[in-house]
Amino acid sequence: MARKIRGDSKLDQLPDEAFSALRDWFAVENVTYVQAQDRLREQYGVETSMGALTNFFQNHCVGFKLRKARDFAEEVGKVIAEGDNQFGETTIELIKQKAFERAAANEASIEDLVSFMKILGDTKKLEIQQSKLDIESRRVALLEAKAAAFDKIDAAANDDNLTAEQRLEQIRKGLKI
Amino acid sequence: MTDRETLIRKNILTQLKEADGYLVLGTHLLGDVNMTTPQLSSTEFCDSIKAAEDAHLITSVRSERGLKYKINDNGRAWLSELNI
Repeated sequence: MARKIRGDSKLDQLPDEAFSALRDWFAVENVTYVQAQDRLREQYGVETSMGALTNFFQNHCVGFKLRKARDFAEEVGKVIAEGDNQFGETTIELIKQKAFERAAANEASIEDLVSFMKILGDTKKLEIQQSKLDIESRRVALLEAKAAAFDKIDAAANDDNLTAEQRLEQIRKGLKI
Repeated sequence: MTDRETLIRKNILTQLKEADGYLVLGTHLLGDVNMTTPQLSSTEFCDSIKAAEDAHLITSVRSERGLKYKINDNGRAWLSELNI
């Protein structure tokens, strides 16, 4: 069993920047203990032991990567579910599982995951733009119909072959009163 | 169970608990548990996985990428008894 962490553990007392860096090296970059030991020495002038690093990992990194992978998968699922697509629930769950595995992989690169999200994000943006275009097209069609109706009203108002009552009737029809 | 076997099982189940329903590929699980278990051998890991499955603490699913695992309710209960 792991020994109880001492209250004055050097790694627990690291400044915030170094603490976050160490955690990210393990949880995001998947560095080894030897690599972490070297980096701490070179970048922060901190000497530490393998035992202290193991304790740090157990206390602050265990599950961190999987929690982040899980959060990423949930975000992917949300983006897909909100999109205008034909994916069923089973397919969405499958995509989420794949996203989770990608994010949980030791060789996962941030660039890969960002690209993955960007593709989904771009797809979503395209859908939104398409939707805006559809709305704009409908608006233009309505304006054209109104313009055509007013042209008819104008023609009726200026038609000398119509009586006053007929002109009024044509105007009412055009305005749909 | 020996202390060592308990440690390995605890580390495996703790990782799977964080996955919270998602299946974790065996190779990924080994990599993560390796970080928390000093001098873990692949034999120890495989033995522990098998024992956990036999005790219905975890479930395995075969896939094209290999075996994947997730924690069961019994596994969560086992961890709770360790106050984890």
